[in-house]
Amino acid sequence: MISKKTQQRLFFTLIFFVMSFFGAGLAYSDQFSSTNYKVLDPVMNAGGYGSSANFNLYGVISQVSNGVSSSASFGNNAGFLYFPFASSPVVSTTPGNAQISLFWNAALGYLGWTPTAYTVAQSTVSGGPYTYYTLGNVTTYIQGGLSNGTPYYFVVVVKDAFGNSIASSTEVSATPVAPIIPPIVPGGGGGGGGGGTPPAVQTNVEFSGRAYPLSKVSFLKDGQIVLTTIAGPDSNFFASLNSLSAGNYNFSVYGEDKNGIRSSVFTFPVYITAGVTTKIGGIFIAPTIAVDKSEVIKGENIAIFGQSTPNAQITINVNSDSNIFVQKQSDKNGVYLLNFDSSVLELGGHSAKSKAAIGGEISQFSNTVGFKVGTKNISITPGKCPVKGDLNSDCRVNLVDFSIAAYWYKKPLSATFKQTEFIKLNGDGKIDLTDFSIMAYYWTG
Amino acid sequence: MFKKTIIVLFLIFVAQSTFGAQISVVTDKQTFAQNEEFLVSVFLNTEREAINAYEGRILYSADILQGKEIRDGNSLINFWIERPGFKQLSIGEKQGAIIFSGITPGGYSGTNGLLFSAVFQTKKSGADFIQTDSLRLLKNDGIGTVAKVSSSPYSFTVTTDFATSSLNIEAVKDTESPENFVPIVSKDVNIFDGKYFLVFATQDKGSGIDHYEVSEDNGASFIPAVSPYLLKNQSLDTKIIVKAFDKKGNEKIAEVEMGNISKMQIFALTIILLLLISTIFFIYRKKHANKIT
Repeated sequence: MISKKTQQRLFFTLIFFVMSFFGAGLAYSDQFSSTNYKVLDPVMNAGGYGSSANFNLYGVISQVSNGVSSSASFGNNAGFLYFPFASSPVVSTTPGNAQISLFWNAALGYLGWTPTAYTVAQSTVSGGPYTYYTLGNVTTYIQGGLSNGTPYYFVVVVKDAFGNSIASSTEVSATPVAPIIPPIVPGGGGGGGGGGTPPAVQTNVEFSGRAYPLSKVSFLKDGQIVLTTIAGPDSNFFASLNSLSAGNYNFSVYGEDKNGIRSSVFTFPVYITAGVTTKIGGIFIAPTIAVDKSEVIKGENIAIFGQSTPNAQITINVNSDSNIFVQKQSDKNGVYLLNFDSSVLELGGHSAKSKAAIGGEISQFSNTVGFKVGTKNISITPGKCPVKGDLNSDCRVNLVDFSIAAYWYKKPLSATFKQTEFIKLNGDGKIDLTDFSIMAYYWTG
Repeated sequence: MFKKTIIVLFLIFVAQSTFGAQISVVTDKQTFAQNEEFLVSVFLNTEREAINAYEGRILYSADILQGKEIRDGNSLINFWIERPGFKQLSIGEKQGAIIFSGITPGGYSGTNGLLFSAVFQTKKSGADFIQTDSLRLLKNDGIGTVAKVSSSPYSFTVTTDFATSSLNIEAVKDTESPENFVPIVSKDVNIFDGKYFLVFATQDKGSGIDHYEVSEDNGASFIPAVSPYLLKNQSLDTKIIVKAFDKKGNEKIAEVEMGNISKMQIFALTIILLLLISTIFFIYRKKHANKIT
């Protein structure tokens, strides 16, 4: 005699098989055309974890709310297969006597991944094979016992709490150098001759990375522009800064795309050692981003576009009740365009941001661009000027704006400046630390 | 079992609630003799957050400690709103404070970022502590969200022994000039009644910036100045020179790049020149035409 419970189980199993047979047919990963359904904007991250002639698959880590369901603050992200990711660390190398010091910026984890440790891979041959050194959650490492004059190559690998590799830097190199011993001045006796002065010891820093093809790249030293360069057609850039003092520096880099739109500012604190060249490699400037409308009628398209490195995978995140992720490929000029159907968004304010990935390198997120879903279309031209902080309206946020704000710090504002503060800062009718923070975020130097 | 679980969860949540940036007041020991000097450094650990604005106070007992020197040469703060300095608070005159505020454009994210250091000298025996107060750290998110911050007081004891001068803190050795910088002349309706003013700022990685001096008479005389500086000569027809001095007296001289003003003047001169040439050309042509006819 079959129990009632078993009967119920059998019934539901039967229903499941029948539905499986007559319902949705089997779908294969390279077969996105079914007569029963269609897949909109699938997100497939390029990677090396799985491979086929047609696609690469990282593994199914998606469609699950990251964290645990008991968390009071987890979010649910809409879309087909979204993937957590971590930005690639930017690494600086400082050669010393039989040693090389590495310093990198902490990788940022998104959508559930949290960088918790790092591994340094080292080789005397570019591209490896590498020897790996497992570290904790640190951002510095000194490798000693090296041979002066031999180039060494390093990659910094980011690990999650389970020891999985979730991002890596580009390969950087440095060559340890023996200290320059000043020539011994012979005592007494006179004569001698020849010799000449020892070579001047220079303290330099070199920057390299990716921006946008033929774009202007600006470098800031402690908040002030010291250098600009033009990236190559492949979007790679290289620049050096000479005659520095030893000490702590904050270097910042940003790019301007073909429309004059600036990227977010990438800032990198580094200690510069006297007498050597510090190399900062693997800088991946975030994409620029803009929209063609400040308001779009619900159901109509809004264009989200910008520029990055050529042929990069661009992930665009549209902020809604739940986050929506869409992927596009940038073209040979690094340009990407997404005509986004606003029907999936609620009425009201939304924002979008993007990041780029290519060859295992992942940029940080771009600036955020805002738009509204409403009852009319309002077209806009992408703004070249900072949205906030530009108090003197010269399209820059720099020491002049800082000085204007500092002039009014903790003082009652004039009627004219109240208007400026309302539009360009946080609009609370006073100048305090929050206003300076806004300026520091939109800083262009 | 359930109770234990609750306790563990509670501890986890309490522990998590203390996460956030940390400010540490650090020195190498906790016991000092009288008249002994010691260096206190204030470090920031951002715990993965990017922080771009900072303000706060470091409180100490002015009865027991005397503030001798502030060292901000290697600070992660690039622009000071309020440069750190020793101040006497009005609340009981024995309360000393170092008040500071500033920003890092683009934000700072990292561990052991130096805000500044201070040299103190002990005055009399006793036990006390140095603590932070009114700390505010703002995130680099474009709206100035307040970041969680925690800090622990640093306690110390001053014994009845007297220190010898060998225990004094070694002076900073600095023979290098401050960093190169570019002063900017600007004017804006929002300050100085729309008159021309001068802005300048630089860093000194050794001993730190001490002060600036400005010359508006082609370098004949210099006067101490702070940025923004209202120019006395509003016609901008003399060379403006700014000197930055570090705390060891090394100086860096920078001449004003007239920037937009210069370009505007060149543009105006070019227009005038073109008009002049055109006028001469038309007069010449007219005269020439008259001769032919």
